[in-house]
Amino acid sequence: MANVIASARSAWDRWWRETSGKPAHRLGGVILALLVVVAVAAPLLPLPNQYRARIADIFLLCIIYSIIALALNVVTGYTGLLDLGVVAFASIGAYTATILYDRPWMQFPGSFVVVLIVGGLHASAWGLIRGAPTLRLSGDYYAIVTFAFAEIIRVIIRSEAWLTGGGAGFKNFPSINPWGAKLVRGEYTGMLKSAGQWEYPSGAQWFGNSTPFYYLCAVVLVLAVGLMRRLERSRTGRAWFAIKADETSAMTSGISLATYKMNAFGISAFIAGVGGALLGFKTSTVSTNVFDFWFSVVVLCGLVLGGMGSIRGALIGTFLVYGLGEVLREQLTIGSVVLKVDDRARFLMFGALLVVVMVFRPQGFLPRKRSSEDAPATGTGGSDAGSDLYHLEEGS
Amino acid sequence: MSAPILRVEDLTKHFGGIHAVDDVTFDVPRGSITSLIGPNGAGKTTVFNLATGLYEKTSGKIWFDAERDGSVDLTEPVFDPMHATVVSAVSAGLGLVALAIPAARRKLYYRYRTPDSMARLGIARTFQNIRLFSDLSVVDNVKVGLHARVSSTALDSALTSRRHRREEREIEAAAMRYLEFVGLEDRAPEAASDLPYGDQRQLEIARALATRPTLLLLDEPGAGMNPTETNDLIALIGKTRDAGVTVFLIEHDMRLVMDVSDKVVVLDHGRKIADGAPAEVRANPEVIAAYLGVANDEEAPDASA
Repeated sequence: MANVIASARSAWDRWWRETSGKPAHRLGGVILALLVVVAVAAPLLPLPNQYRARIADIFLLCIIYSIIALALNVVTGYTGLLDLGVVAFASIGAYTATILYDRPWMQFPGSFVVVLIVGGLHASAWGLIRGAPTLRLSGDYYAIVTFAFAEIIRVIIRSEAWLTGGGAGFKNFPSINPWGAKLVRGEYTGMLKSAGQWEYPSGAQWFGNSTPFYYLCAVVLVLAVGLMRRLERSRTGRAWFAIKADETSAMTSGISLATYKMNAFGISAFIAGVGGALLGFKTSTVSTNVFDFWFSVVVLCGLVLGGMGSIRGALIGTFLVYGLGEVLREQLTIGSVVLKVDDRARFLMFGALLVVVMVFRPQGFLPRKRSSEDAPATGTGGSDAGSDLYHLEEGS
Repeated sequence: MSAPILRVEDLTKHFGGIHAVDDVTFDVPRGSITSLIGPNGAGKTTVFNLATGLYEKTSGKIWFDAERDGSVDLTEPVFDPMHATVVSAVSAGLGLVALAIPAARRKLYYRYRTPDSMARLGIARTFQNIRLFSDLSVVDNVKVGLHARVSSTALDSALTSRRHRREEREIEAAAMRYLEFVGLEDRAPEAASDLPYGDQRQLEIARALATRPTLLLLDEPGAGMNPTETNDLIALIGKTRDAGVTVFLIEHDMRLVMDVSDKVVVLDHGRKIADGAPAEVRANPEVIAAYLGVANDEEAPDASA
């Protein structure tokens, strides 16, 4: 216990020292900590049922979109390639997971893990397929290709109705169930109807809004954050940052652009695929109306607001954008007056928010710190551990 | 001095109608400090870009005596298994039988060496306009230079495998020692863009050295430096050579060139007009003509040109 207190104390001290003179980082840290506390507690808050459900719903949405924002952050924030098509991988992950989860041979305990991973891998494969021909592109040209690719995927999904349900997509399908989709529901047939509508069994639990599903998504987000933190401080992460800063000198420093861009594309698409699959299971709806161009734009908007290339920034930005977006959906009734923001007007709000942030803090709320002050401190030089790599013996 | 580490043979590079490098031949002796000089637009940086894979030649050869692979022509396409696999897969998908013809295969499966493969062969370089990773810290810049000498994959790092942990320790320590070599160890945690100009040049050299080059190309390392910084640079270049790295540099500062060089190669309008020991070159009438525009009996240009 004393240990825990001591380590918390030192973490607090370190954080306080690091953020001295950086009010935004200090404020951001506090907001983030509050968000984490509320997010963890949301499904258990002692509130009337409908309020708790709504709050948990908003947080769940933010959690899932944060996963997708972290995915986008790999390509756009770390590697510096503007990606306008993250929706392609989210939708591939969602459709793959949904279709797969209905198969009779997928009905075993824990099959949802397989489904999520396969959805991610499938998205990842398409990430590599999109990436290979675009390795030489950068800036606007790359952005246009990502946009076009997302549209191609959307059109394919819309036209291949035999597999994807066409424009209507899948609605009201059973969500993730730890024991397999069909096993707890005797009468559920899982048959894909001609219009792409899935049979929605009477009395089936809508698992997508349940507490276990909420925590499943939270765990996936924690895993994604952990992965990002490790990659940021690794050889791979440094290669990405180098490519972002200067492709030419990254190359002449021995970094293979092809390898590390493909790495970024694959990892990004995998996480986006898993996030997309979770989103599908959450809303019990997978259709091209959800996975459209604006999906990419809003995720990117959150990332830009929060700060490119920073995990905390991606989280805060996403919670801000989607939290605000959901709150604006609510209607406020004061006496006989009903206040309601039009659905389309929400984008207007995002635009205004973006303009304000770009004016006052163009790098986003919590941009990536430039120096490696949060890197683990090892012996500063002189140690023998590096003698294998250091080769200039005669000179010193 | 033994066999040359770099041998440029009849090297030519055209940009449209402009002959940036025109039939140039010279050697860089192993263990030397060799300078490449000439007026602006003489094609010096083009030679560097050809030798580091940033440009493809028009014709000619650049032989590099690599530590592991022996003498290789840097400008020839090499077989690239990864590329060949992709090309085969795509062509199989498209059903292109023509690719079975050896000539077509050679063209499609072979690729020009990429700058990163040059770095792995043992050629490192700096740039005329400093190209640091300005968002990264000083020590991280050097760590990027160490990139190709370690092998952790993204998966290693995701799982913090033993290899990842060992390599990160080694990288950290080695990066600090490269910084010590150029005298920047105290500034390790700062952002690279916060360094003063001269230090940024030194950091770029440290990053280049971290790739473990046998040949270091410096593109105008002394540009914009004050006399004190230039003196530090001269010392550093000497120290680098003494550590076993051949230095090949482009420079306009004649004091620096005449001070450090074992050999000087002079280009003018893409052609080589002279090479040899510094004293010989500075007395060469053609060199004087190139720098001053007219040949006369006046002294050689020893101020910066």
